[in-house]
Amino acid sequence: MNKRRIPEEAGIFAVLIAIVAVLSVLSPTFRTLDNGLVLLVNGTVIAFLALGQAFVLLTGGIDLSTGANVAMTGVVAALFMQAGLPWPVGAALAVLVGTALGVTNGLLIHYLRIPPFIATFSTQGVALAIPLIITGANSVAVREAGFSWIGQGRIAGVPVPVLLLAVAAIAAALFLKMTRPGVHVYAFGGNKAAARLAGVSLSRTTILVYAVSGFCAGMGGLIATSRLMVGFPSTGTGNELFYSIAAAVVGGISLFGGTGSVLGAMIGAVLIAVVSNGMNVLNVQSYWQSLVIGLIILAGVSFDTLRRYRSGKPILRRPASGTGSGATPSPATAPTTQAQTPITQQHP
Amino acid sequence: MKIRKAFGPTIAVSLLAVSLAACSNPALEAPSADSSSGKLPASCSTDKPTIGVALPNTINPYYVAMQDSFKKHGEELGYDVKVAIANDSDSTQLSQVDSFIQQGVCAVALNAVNSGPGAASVKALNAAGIPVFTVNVIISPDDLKTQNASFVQYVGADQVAGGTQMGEQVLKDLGADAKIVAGIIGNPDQIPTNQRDQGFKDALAKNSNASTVQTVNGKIDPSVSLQVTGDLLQGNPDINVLFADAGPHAVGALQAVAQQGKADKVKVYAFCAADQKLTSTYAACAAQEPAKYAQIVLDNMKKHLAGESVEKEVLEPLKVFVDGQTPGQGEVG
Repeated sequence: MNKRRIPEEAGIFAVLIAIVAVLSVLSPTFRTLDNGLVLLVNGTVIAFLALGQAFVLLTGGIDLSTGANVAMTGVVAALFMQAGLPWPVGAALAVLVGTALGVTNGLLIHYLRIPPFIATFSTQGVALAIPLIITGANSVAVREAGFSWIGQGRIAGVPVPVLLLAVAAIAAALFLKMTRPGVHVYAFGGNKAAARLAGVSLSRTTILVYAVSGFCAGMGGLIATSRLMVGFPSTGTGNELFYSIAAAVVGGISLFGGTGSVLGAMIGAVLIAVVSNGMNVLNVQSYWQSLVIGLIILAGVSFDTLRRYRSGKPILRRPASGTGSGATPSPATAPTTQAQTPITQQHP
Repeated sequence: MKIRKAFGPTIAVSLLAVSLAACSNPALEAPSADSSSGKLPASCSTDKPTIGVALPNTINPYYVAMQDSFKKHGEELGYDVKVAIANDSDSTQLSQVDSFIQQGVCAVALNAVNSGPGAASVKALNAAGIPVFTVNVIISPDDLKTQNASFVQYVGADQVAGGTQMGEQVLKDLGADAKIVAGIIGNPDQIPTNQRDQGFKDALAKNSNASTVQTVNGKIDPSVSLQVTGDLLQGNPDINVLFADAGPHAVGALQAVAQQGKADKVKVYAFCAADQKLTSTYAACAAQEPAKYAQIVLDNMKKHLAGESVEKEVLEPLKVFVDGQTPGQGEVG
């Protein structure tokens, strides 16, 4: 619209730069390249979860099962390798298991009409229990030495998990911007009823976004397990879920769907990684750390909300019609709605 | 209308008054059956008395080992052992203890989720006249006193001594006056791990060239420990000793040291991780023996039920492992 429009992510990026600057001044060890890589590697699991979460949030849903999915896929990968599968096969199968959990979420939400919060909350419980049931709470050692490449390897000095994340994020961003199913994701979240009338397949889009989230969680599980070389049944079940949602939201993805970008979510994830790392490097007592992260999330979101509000696009205001537009059609759309799809009137 | 309006509140107030009068505050009453007075629940005289075991979780292998030992050894002693897992919730544990009371169990072994709130469970069992044995987590003496509650016996590891043993091992390995810069991977939210850290620091304090620079929070999760240890080593490049005060912390710390290529520079001392062999980097670890504690509790419970007196506190020293050794099954920090 406006030619000189500032990119959506500018606000959060400025916050990130400011925090990096402050931390660099406070600590000489923070600003080393070595620490930068440590920080990025530490942030990859949360960033992967945030990437998957971004797809789900864009449709106005939420995926609470991702942290548990990390634990499940990590243990499953270790078990596959213990059973004698070569590591690339074991890793691929484990990611497939993670994706399958996502597909299950999508099926439950679309066909059984279970609200995403409840559906993924339930599958979270299932995914948490599976590794505990299989292992009896014991860790599963990874015997295939090659598997460590995923979490610990480097290509041209850049850690492999960071590269994997970069590839996934770029692919995801292009997918959402350039392809038809990608645009459908935005349409779904912007106005579900309108999207359906416009020919967006709700079932396919729902299943797709949860499958992507499951896939990303599976990647997170592989990276966490590969860094430890141990499948640990409670890995990923701590702050990961909360931080991944926070990263996406701080990065400008609306909890109500339709707005935001992959780039924003990734900046959000890096921001959280920077703050976590910076506080440990600066020797901040752990009691204070979640307080500081909470405040930064608040600051980031308020900054963004305020900016959107000023430019006339409040992030937290639900569209007045919402999904019920079929039930209370505005005068302008009502006749066309009735004329084209009388079916919608049967389910007000 | 007016009468009706007044009617509801009147009923409510009078009901409240009645319920308040009928209710009492158990926290202020004296124990109805002092656990040492010898009067045992009726269920103890059956052929196979039921013993209730309340544990915090079965996510930690430590409690899995303890649970298995309670079941196995209880069977040998002729008890029917019922285990309740609280999923780390104090209120869940209290309701599980209440359910033990409803079932009329003969005695309870309580591994409280948290030290302070555990006193309420002890109090409830006191009021029902059921003897309580506490294990692993010590119940806060202050809370016991305010609630006028008491247990028969506490069995557990000497956490402070465990930390001290590791600190002394550091001085033994590196030299009594060597320059030592230590970092701790701890869990500042929990009392036992803080006690271990304190013991470790106190032992190091004997060396004036030793300093502890920082404590990071590993949250009893190897993945978190790997991340925070990485940060810790970045922030303090001259660290040469790490103390990981729980098994999962040790797993993450060792990976972080290896991944930063500092295996020659940094030595890790820890509370043992399960099945992890000690090396020149993973220099020593202290292990608790949860299976043994369960066994001690049951043996002493049997004595107590037979009318013999038992000690108020059994503090077991920790088992130390060094380079080349591997902790056995169920020997974890």
